[in-house]
Amino acid sequence: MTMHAMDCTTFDDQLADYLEGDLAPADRWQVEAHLATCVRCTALVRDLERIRADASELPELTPSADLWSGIARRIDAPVVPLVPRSTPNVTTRRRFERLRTAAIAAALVVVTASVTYTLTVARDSARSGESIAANTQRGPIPDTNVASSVRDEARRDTLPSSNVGPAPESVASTNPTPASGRATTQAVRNTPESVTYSREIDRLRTIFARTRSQLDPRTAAIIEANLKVIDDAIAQSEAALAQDPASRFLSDQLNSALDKKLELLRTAALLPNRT
Amino acid sequence: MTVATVDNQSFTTGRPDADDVALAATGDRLAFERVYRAHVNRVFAICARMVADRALAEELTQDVFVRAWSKLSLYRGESAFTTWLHRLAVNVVLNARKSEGRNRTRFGSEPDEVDSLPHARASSWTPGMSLDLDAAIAGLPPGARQVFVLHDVEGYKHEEIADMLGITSGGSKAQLHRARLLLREALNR
Repeated sequence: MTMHAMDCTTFDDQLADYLEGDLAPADRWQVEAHLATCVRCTALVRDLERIRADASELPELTPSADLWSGIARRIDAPVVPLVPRSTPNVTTRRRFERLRTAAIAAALVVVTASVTYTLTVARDSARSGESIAANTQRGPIPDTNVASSVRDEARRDTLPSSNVGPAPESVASTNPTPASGRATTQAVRNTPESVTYSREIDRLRTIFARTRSQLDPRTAAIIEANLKVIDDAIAQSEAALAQDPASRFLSDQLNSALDKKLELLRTAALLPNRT
Repeated sequence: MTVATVDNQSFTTGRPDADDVALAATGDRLAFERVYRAHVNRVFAICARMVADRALAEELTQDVFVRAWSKLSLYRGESAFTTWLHRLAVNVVLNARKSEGRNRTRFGSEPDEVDSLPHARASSWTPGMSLDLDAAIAGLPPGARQVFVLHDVEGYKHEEIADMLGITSGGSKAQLHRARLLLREALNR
């Protein structure tokens, strides 16, 4: 090997870029100058270019066996035929589904309304029964004027500070109401529930009047204030019910107010014993 | 054109037919079989040269065509079908190599050292026999072999190879040069 401007080691370093055509023109000229005089490097380049050329012309290869059967098995997913449905066509089916949905909705409404009505009536009956039961458990009912209505009692019952006694009187004769309200008041007045309310309130009022002096004046004042609020609520419910006697909501509100008044009077009657 | 006519043409000439590809894309199995027969040797060659194992290459060839069958509807004809199919084959091979089991047991996990010489690792090559280029390629280290096959045999550019193998373009060039030198050494024994 003769001496050149580029030695074989340097040539080897640049050979890859030379074969890839990545050398700068000056470097490429040096490589080619070296090749022109170096047998070893010329043979190397010739062999590598031959390998590249041969590689690009390599023949196809044939598998040892036909591979199609294996491929066919894998791509032949079982085809499940679409079984004709015995059901009606899509339009008919959709119409049927709509009708079925509507029927279910209607049935749901009927059931819900029936349950609501039943529960409401049952609650009212239970409330009436509770009051009667409570009254019965508390012993003999004082022999008061059962003809006085609960509303009349509530309106009149403003808890005098000292002497409160049962003084039932017929409000129907002193407190006229509109025709509809009168009818409603009369109807409520004649029910066993009204009688029970009236008796219980009268009895508790008597007890509270007797024991009031034993209470702290501030406590008695609070009780009286609360009773006043409840009486106002009773009066408002009664007035509204007179305008709309069929309103179950107003009737419930009135009963609720009466219940609250009873509860408060019971609490007040028992206070001395508790303390 | 009837299916029978296309069938006969494809089987007798072995040339891919664009109509067959289109028909196969619609689910025509007969057309796909014709596509298979037109391309199987080329696809098998890619697989065999990249993995240096004929039995494994046959498995991978089947994988390629099964995958092609499922992906054919996505072929838009933007490139030649052969280009699309060969790229699919390369991807199948590379993905299979990533598979842990095959990577360790069948693709070989030897260190890809630049100075190592081709050895009789491929089932298609036995010691003592006259080395031809295919046998020499089979004896290359896996990394150098893949780059050589992809570049010098299949004609991919370094940038494409770098993208496929997850290496740099310079790394691809280095592996290629290394492969060529090793092949020269093996062929000149």
